[in-house]
Amino acid sequence: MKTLGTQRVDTRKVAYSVILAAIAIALSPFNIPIALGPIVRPLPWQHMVNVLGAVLVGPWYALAVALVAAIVRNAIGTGTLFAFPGGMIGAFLAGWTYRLTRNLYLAALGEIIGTGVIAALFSTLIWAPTVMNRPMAATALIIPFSISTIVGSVLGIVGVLILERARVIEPRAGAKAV
Amino acid sequence: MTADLTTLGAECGLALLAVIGAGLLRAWWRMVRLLVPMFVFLVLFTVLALDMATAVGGVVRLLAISTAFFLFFQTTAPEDLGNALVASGVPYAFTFILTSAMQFVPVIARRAREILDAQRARGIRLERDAASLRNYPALLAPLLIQSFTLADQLAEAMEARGFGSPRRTFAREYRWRTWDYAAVIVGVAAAVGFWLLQRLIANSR
Amino acid sequence: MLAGVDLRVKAGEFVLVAGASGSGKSTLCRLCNGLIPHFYNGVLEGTVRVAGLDTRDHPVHELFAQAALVFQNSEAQLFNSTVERELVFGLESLALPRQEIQARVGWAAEVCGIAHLLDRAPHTLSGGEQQRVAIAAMLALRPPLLVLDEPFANLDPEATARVRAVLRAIHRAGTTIVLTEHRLHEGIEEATRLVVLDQGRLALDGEPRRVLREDLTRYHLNVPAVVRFARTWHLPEVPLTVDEALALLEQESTTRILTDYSDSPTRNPCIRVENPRGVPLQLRSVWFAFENAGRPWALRDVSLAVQAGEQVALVGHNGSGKTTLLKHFNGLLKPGRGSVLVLGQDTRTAKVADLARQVGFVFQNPGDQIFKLTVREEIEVSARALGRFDATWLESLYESFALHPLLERSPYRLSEGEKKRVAFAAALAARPTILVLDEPTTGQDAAFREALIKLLDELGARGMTVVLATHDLEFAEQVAPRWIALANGAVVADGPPDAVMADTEAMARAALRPTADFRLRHSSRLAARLPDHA
Ligand SMILES: Nc1ncnc2c1ncn2[C@@H]1O[C@H](COP(=O)(O)OP(=O)(O)OP(=O)(O)O)[C@@H](O)[C@H]1O
Ligand SMILES: Nc1ncnc2c1ncn2[C@@H]1O[C@H](COP(=O)(O)OP(=O)(O)OP(=O)(O)O)[C@@H](O)[C@H]1O
Ligand SMILES: [Mg+2]
Ligand SMILES: [Mg+2]
Repeated sequence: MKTLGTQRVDTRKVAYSVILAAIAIALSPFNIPIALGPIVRPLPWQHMVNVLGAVLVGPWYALAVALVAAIVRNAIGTGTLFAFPGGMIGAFLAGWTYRLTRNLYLAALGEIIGTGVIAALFSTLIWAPTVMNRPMAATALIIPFSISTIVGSVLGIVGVLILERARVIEPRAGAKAV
Repeated sequence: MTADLTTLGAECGLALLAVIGAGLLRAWWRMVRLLVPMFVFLVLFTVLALDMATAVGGVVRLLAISTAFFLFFQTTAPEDLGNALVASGVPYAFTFILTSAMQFVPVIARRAREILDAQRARGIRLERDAASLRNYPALLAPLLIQSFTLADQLAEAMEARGFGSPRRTFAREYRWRTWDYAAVIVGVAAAVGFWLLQRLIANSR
Repeated sequence: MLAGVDLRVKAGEFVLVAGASGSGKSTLCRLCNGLIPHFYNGVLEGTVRVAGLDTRDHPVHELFAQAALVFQNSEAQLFNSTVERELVFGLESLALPRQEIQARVGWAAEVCGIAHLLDRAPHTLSGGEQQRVAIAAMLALRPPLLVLDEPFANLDPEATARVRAVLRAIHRAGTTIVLTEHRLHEGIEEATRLVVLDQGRLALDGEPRRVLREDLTRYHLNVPAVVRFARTWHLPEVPLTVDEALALLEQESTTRILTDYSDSPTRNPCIRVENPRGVPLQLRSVWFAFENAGRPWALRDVSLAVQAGEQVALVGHNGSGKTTLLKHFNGLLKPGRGSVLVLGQDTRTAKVADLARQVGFVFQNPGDQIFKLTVREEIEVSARALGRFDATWLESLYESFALHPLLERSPYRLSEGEKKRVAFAAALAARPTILVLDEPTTGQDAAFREALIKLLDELGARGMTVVLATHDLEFAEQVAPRWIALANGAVVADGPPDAVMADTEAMARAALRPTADFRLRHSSRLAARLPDHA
């Protein structure tokens, strides 16, 4: 699919990115009923899509998917400004982790650290720069972000295994064929 | 500290007025409800680590920033944003993903509804409660398989329409128009105004 | 996929490529525009030349305007925000100047009859409209060759007829067309040449009337009714349309009177097995609208009763409410007004899981249900979920659906026909007394239809109540002694197939065309020759 032109465009990755973004947006209205009381309703779909994207389309396209999903979710009212750091950092880190290690579970770990730790700290920065000097306060968002990304990453891993078993995607090198 | 609070309050008030003016109050309220988990954790941790004033200041600042973002996204069509990003250097594929993804959102949503119906018709419990969680593979497996089969068919259709062609010409280009200049001027003026207000209150004490 | 195929298509031809599922039709189409070998890796021997270009040496984006390809699933082909952008996209790939693009968009939209849809979002259109948009997008490229891979598969008869009219206009304007389809009657009229594929081999190739003389059942193809009629009446030539068949009959000098036109597929109504727990389905003036506001009524004042052991077919145009009505039978949808009783239980109070014990549902797309690791587990899901696991009943299901060889295989890697059989068995696993089928024959070839007709006979004999929705009137004629015709959510006819098809006003409102068999049996010229046929 490489073309002779200036822009190396991979049609299959673009098509997969379109559908990944559509899934993240289409499922965004549904949160998961496991609640810590009514307060934290995890929204795992973007993180599931990040793990799927890391394996299927690589870091740059996964980042594009997260940015597209965040833009559209804000436009249709199922997302907040936290959707940007919450999605993009995890997608990019998971993408690079998979590209380097070719390991699905490490890619999921990349997503969890990217969103649960880095995105959480970054979001707190937006909220109150003065708070950053107090480590205790700075970790405020780690808990809500982590719950969503852990549930999402598990769904992402299950998703990749399902797609391989159904031969919709080629099994990853080294993964035992089911 | 009060200086920050009053300027933040004024900023938040102005943004809220814009929301009401644009008739987006209901959508704005829905967005704020999404922020509730953030607010709870932020206030909880800040009160423990610092004091109540900082916590309240933080909440108002977050509300002001979120409302500004909210206004931006409710008034800018995603396609225009995508094309503007491409015009400033982001690869063409990005705006393609943005516009096409929006077309497939209802398609994927309909597939999810069909799958939900099909599985519930077989006695599988998939309601909005914690007990249904262990049945999620019954929704996830068919949805992902069909979505990526659809993605393969989409890739073929794109190729068959010459998506890979390097000689793609663009239909639209973006030029600054009077409205754009006016919006920027108002924005800068407001920022400078609030900055002066904050300085004024701080020095007056 | 393909073995030793030599095929030359000259300019101006209209080639119909027929073949059972897996015979290689789609593979042949993907060779034309270079998707094979550039998009699919695999072994390709021999050469493919399109408009003089060897597809090995040119990437797809240099071939796509020479051999324009339209696919089966219209939903996956439309990816722009408006219909007009859909047509413009391909032309932008050719880097054409602005006014040339506008001129071609206008022309293609006119030819395909979608000029009034240009600013609509593609995914809000009906299946037929979407397919015409996909064709227009390809036509705008002014390709010398237009290839269509089973474009009618998901369309109802009315939409199919409109798309075929568009193809006839395009062919008359000089474009060469290659159309793959396994339902022969949807293409033999306009085709100048008929090619039959069998397991990747080119089995037959020639002028349609000559090829139709061969025994096509060998290739699992469904012999069109007009051809069957010609054989029954020993007509000298092979007709392609009903009128042609009757005209040939007219010239037939011998006035051999056939005592029994044995070909009519009317079935004796199945034996009724009294069901102790009351009337299976009872609807009293049901009204229903989907809750997102502003939706018109999807069902209008529907009242009907289905007795135990009856086999009923719901027929009607796209969006007439067939699926909506079926979903009321197991509580997936609840009536806005009126009531639905399933074996005496009011669906407004009963839960879907309760009704699922009595009502087995086979949805249009088996892919919506499959999620287990093996076929056996997949079939047992409802039996286990509803606590009605019965090993002997399941064994009898595996028997009657010939599923034993598949039981331990992964359900994902089955053919469409095999997946449908698994979905059937899964719907019957919990021993329901009512079986509901939504479009059971879409995407299936002739072999599956025959097996399904035999199966429904068997189930009918055991007193199973069956309600099915279908566009395939030929199929409905053979399996359902009672039809209910719907138009815009309202029942416009309810009775035996021949009575419903004779009711021209109801058929018009439901946008249905009588089957070729009916028209042949009931045409006035034929009646003159037959004794009073009961
Ligand atoms: N992507 C693929 N990878 C591997 N095998 C394939 C692929 N696509 C098709 N096949 C196999 O090639 C053979 C021909 O498939 P093809 O889709 O061309 O048949 P077809 O006539 O189009 O069938 P249908 O009527 O179901 O569309 C089949 O045995 C099929 O299993
Ligand atoms: N989930 C839904 N939300 C809103 N409207 C719907 C929904 N499902 C169906 N409709 C509308 O209700 C009407 C009836 O749809 P339904 O699917 O029952 O028709 P159908 O006879 O099954 O059509 P087809 O022959 O295409 O299967 C249509 O106008 C359709 O657009
Ligand atoms: Mg095919
Ligand atoms: Mg339907």
